[in-house]
Amino acid sequence: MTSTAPPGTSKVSIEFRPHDKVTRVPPGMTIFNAANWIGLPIDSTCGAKGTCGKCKVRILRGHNGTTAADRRIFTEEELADGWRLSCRSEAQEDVVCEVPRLMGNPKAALMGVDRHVILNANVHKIPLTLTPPTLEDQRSDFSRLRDALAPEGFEVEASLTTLRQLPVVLRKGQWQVTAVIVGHELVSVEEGDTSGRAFGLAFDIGTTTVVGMLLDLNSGAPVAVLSTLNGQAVHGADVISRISHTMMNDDGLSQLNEVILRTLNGLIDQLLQEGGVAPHEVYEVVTAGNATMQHLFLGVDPEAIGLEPFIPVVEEMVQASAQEVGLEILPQAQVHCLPYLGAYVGADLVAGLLATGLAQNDGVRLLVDVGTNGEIILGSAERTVATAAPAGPAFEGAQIQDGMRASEGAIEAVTIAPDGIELQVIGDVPPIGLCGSGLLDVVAQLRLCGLMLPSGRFVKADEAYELVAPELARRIIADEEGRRSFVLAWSEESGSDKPIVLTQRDVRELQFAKGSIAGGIDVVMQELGVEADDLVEIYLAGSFGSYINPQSARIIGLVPPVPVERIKAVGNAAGEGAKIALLSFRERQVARSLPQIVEYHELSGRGDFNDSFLSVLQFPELDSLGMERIAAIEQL
Amino acid sequence: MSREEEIKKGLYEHTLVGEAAEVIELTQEGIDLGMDPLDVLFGALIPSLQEVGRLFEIGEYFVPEMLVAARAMQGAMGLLRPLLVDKGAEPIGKVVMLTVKGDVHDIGKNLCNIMLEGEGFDIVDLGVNVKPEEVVEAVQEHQPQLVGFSAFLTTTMPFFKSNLTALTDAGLRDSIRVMVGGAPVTQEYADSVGADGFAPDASSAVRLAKELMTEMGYDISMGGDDSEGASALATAVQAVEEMMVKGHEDE
Ligand code: B12
Repeated sequence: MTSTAPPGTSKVSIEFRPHDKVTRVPPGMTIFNAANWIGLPIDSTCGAKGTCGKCKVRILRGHNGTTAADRRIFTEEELADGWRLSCRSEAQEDVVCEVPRLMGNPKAALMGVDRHVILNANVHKIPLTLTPPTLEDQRSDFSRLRDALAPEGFEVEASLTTLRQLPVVLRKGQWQVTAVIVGHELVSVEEGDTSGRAFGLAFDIGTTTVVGMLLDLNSGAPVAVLSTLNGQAVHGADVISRISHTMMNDDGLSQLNEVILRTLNGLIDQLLQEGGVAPHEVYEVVTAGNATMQHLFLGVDPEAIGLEPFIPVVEEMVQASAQEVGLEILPQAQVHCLPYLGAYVGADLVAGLLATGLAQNDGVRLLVDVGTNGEIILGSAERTVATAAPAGPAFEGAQIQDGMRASEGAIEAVTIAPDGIELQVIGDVPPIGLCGSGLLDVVAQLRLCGLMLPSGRFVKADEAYELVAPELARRIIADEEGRRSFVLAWSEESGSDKPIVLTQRDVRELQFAKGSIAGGIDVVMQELGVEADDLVEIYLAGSFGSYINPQSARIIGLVPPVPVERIKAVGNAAGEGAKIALLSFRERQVARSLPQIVEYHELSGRGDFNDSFLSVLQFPELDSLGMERIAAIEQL
Repeated sequence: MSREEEIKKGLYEHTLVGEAAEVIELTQEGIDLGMDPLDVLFGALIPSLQEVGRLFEIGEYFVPEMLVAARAMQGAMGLLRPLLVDKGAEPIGKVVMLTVKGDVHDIGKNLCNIMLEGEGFDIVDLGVNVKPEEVVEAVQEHQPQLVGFSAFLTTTMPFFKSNLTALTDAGLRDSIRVMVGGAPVTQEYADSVGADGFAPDASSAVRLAKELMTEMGYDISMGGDDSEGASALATAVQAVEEMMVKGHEDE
């Protein structure tokens, strides 16, 4: 068992007055971050750098040391009175503090799953009118700019690239310029007042699909959203195949790095065109991807993730410039890769936690990203645990005889009616195969009408005629060795001139895949000591999770047997979380601290997984779900 | 039908559905009646487990059904083993099985073990995450005819090659036959690393093991080289199977 923090121990409590809110955090977290953690707004413009002096709090009890920043901002009396900068002040013991009322209301927006997110981008554009230099005023270009920014609360540094740009821009702009500051860094200086235009990019880098979002950092509004296939897909469907590609080929790592950059730069090009935005107007990027994808994106060797004991090179948030990384936007733009919870629970899930607020809310919730690698997070503000369950590609239609991806011609939903079966096909064309959501549906429907036993076995043809109408019963067919299948579409109904069938072996593949995820869920539920009834909500995330029918997921036992209305598809939670981390610096700080707070359990190290896995390979009995067999199913 | 025949039929049926308690009870009754332990084993239990393997292969049975059947069979074996040893019945061959270094997937390997054991092989299971040097040590110590490597990850399959090289370097490669398997493994991959055989599932693994034994010149017709006894057993198996078919038709 590996866990990042000893469960429930060594946390300190921070009480905020007059809000009367209390939170428990690992010692060493700043008071500012702890406030963000519970969604309590404390003012700040410098992005928690200790320079703007706006995030003051008064410590009433506990922990009284001062920092250099405190001594710079506050007078002796104020210090004696307990005033401190909350962004510098680390809670090492229980603390009670008073938060002054906010000046004005912070801008907030509803994002993710009903989350009230305070918009405060880390990008600041400050229009300045500088006094031109004279024989008397001999300050350098950069000092001039820096001095003008000081009263605004910024203390900036500049890179060589920005310095090279500086003399031209200042003079061409006739000393009327806009400074672009990301965090502490002066990333660009533009002629005139361009403060109305500030953009950022959020990426969900998936093993299969990459989603890019261009956002207006002033308003928080999405300007353009596009998705495309990850160009690495030709080198294998899952992360292990990608890793083994880098191991087997000398230039494998640089190959895969170039491929993902090509994919991302292609998306950027399209997004910018669609939004009418220039590359140099993009100042910040946030990415959320699994550990392997982010390693390959950064050109960092992922080999150790693929071999026991599965160790990423870095799990903290990585920051680099667009130029270093190879993204075709403003060279000094900052790129932030969200952190991981473990080698197989990546930044996509950290983003998912931001989008759902699962680790910050009361009430136990379950977040499952259903895919080749199933990621599972269970918990509440009190305690949150995560694990990864290797499901395999069955949900994506692979290893299924007539399986296919969710594209035109794929059966995506199935209803078994008294007089036959109803297929919903993508693109409204004759079906050519079965995609993951259709696979789940047909198995669930067969369970409901009794044509499939809890063990996963089809009933025999003669038994079928006793259970359902002949039109349905005749769809159970068998070959000479006794291998049974269920016909979804006869050859004359299909778009490929071949019948589309669900074979007994397909069902077995599905059982392995769902057993892996259900087994993983079982392990974390036992770890937290919760039962299905305790679950307030179950969130299904990911490109597959969002399309599956919650009722079908419940009938096949992919998720615990909660009332169906508690199961929610939350869409691309990773993308939504990346967007939140881009638009709200506070939320990004929350993301930064998540790896210390969420415990990661590697299933390979858990002896109890095997028992869980074997016990959930079967499908649940209908009565354990409070359901009965129905010979004819109306609508799920 | 004599009580003996009833017992054999019962053993076959209860093993097939994994009813351990019934299987143990019937085995004890057979022993008390003085039935030949070889007849109980080869005339009922092994045919039943073979049928389990066939049903698994066509997808009719799944891992849980296979495990309960194996557990039932193992219950019976606990009672029969001392008697079989007394009769001088020998295993048909010895297999060292393992999951390669870096890999902890063992469900597939364990199913193979069950079927091989059920067919009369003696299994030495080295477990998971087994290093090449441990493979060499185990082959030196146990002197098996066959060695089986299992791998479930694309990143751990290359350890087949490492193990084979280690065995060659230790001068042991020629004394054994090596079979490989696991979800991502293919016949081509097995050939490319120089393994002697590949099987996609547990029943095929048994067939493969027997083929390799025959290639090596062993007579695997059951229980050593008592060919008369073997043919008698084959007849017994056939009889039980026929009986089963009849039994089903009667229902
Ligand atoms: C269960 C499981 C686990 C369990 C294993 C439990 C255990 N004690 O075995 C746990 C949770 C530990 C696990 C961990 C990991 N897993 Co895993 N796991 C699976 C899963 C769901 C089922 C595998 C299985 O047991 N199948 C059941 C058996 C019966 O399969 P079978 O192939 O039919 O077996 C037959 C044949 O292979 C043959 N056979 C087997 N061995 C041998 C040997 C010989 C000699 C012969 C002749 C024949 C033979 O006979 C068997 C019986 O008929 C698969 C996905 C899937 N749907 O298959 C992933 C899968 C194998 N795992 C995978 C991954 C990535 C991992 C992890 C790296 C992920 C992680 N860290 O989260 C770790 C690695 C751990 C490690 N060091 O090995 C990937 C591999 C991808 C790849 N390209 O290589 C898979 C395919 C899932 C996926 N795509 O994500 N896993």
